[in-house]
Amino acid sequence: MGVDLKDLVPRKVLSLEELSGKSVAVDAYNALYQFLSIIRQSTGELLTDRRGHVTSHLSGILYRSSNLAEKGLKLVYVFDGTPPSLKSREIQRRALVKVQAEEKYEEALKKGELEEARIYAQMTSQLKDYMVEDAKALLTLMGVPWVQAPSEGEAQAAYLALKGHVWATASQDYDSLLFGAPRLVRNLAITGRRKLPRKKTYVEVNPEVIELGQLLAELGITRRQLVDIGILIGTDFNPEGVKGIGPKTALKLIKEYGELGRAVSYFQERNLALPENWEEIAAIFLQPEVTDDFKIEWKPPDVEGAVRFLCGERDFSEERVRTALGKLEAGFTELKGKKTLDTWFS
Amino acid sequence: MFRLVISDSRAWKNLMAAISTLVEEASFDVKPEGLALRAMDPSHVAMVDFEYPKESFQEYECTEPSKLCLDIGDMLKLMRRVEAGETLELTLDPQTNHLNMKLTGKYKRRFSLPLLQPSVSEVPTPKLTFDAQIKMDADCLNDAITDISNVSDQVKIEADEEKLVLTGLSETGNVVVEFERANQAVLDFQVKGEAKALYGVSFLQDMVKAGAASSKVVSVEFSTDKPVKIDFELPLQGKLTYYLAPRLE
Repeated sequence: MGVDLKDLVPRKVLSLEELSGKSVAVDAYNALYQFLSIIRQSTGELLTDRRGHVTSHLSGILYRSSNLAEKGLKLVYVFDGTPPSLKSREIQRRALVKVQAEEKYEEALKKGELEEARIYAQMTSQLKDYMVEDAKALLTLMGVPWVQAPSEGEAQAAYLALKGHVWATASQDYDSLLFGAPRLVRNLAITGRRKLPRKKTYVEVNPEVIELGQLLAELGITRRQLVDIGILIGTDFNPEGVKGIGPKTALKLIKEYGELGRAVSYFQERNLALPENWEEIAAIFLQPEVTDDFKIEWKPPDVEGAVRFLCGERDFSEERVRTALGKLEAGFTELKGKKTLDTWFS
Repeated sequence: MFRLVISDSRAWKNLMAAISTLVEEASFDVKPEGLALRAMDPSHVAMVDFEYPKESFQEYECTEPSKLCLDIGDMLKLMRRVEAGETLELTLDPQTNHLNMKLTGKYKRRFSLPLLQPSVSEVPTPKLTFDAQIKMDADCLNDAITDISNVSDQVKIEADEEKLVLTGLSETGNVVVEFERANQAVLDFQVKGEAKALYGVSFLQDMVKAGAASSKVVSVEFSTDKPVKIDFELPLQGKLTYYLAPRLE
């Protein structure tokens, strides 16, 4: 979910070429859920190996990472650790949605309504521990680094960007801006098109970059104020936000009052419920739990190891796996030899 | 207030084409002393550094510094049929936010082009020292690189105290072009020890071809595994310089 800032942020559309040679930290859970929801059979069932292990997410990691590596992008996947306790309500809500979707899926399938079934199936995506372990094992074999976050993956990814270990974070959510990432890349897909939900049409999507500094300058606010705006609109820690307050009103209010703490009376007068623990929520964004215990290194892929794992154990087609790994290898060698002028600026 | 007149609009077109090899949007710094632009290609492998002092124009008026950002491909499109004797006048229309171009030759033609929002990022100059500095005929360099581009996607440039050697190797064939220091195409030759580096041929070819259309003389400056600086001599204090990052083996 994440905070919905889309009406407020200035964005710049990029070509994948402009991202060549750059490193980005990807929120792994965000990516894995996307794969689990999109990569499905026509009836909505997940891809599995012959023992019933889900493999949709592995397919996503393999093909997307190798396609991006071929274009010169260097990815780092960041995995969630233990979520902050405040997130439990959002997690419960998502679980409930999934259970309901599961029932509707079965129902639609019985009636033979395949398109409906597929839509509900997409909503049932659940990431199990073994899927995460498989994903990490595959990344290691691919030579793509991954980092274990102590808590929120988005927070750790933002920290990597803030400290200059990567150039930007990549996610569909805007949360990493609240966590302080200097740059966020959205729509980092290779296909260039995305299916519209419930429609058989596709829209062109291009990667875009949002610069935190520019965002704050254009809105005339500080990061602290951006977090306050996020809390009013709704974050993963208070999904409902404040009733009736959208991005534009939130911006106006925070600019007028300076900070959320001073605007409390405004909400009281109007009988609007501010989340009780808003200060705690702000702290999650402003003093996130992150770690310096990580090592980021891009290595050439272990082709035979990856083939053994994907084809031997997870029933992937060897030909397609080798093609993808070939792209990964080519991208790695190309990057090793390629220098940009940035090296000589400092 | 901004207005300039160029007596040879063909030459101007060639310079704009030289910039367009690297960028689609050109953001010029308009200053009382002249026009300047420094920009990198999207992948940050190549840079163009362009300066055109007010003395290089037939007429030049600029009362306050500003940015002039335009789609350079669109400008070139409008200038496609420009003729050698035509005079070009550029003015800004702040009302419509357009750049007006007036071409005067056998008859008058007027074009206008919308201005774009200038980008904020400033491009620094690379900090480099060069072991090899060779001034030579721009057309000869262009020919050498064209020959190499026929077989390879990269060029090895090597220099020692005797000669400059450009090499392209591939499965389809090998090309080696040598310029000895006494060769008549070589105008000045200063090499300390040896220097050797590898560059992508397509950028190099675009740069040298575009530069050779504006200038007869080019300086090639590089050091081992460092960027190459390709500097085309322009009349007065004009400057058309490219930098290209090396590839490592």
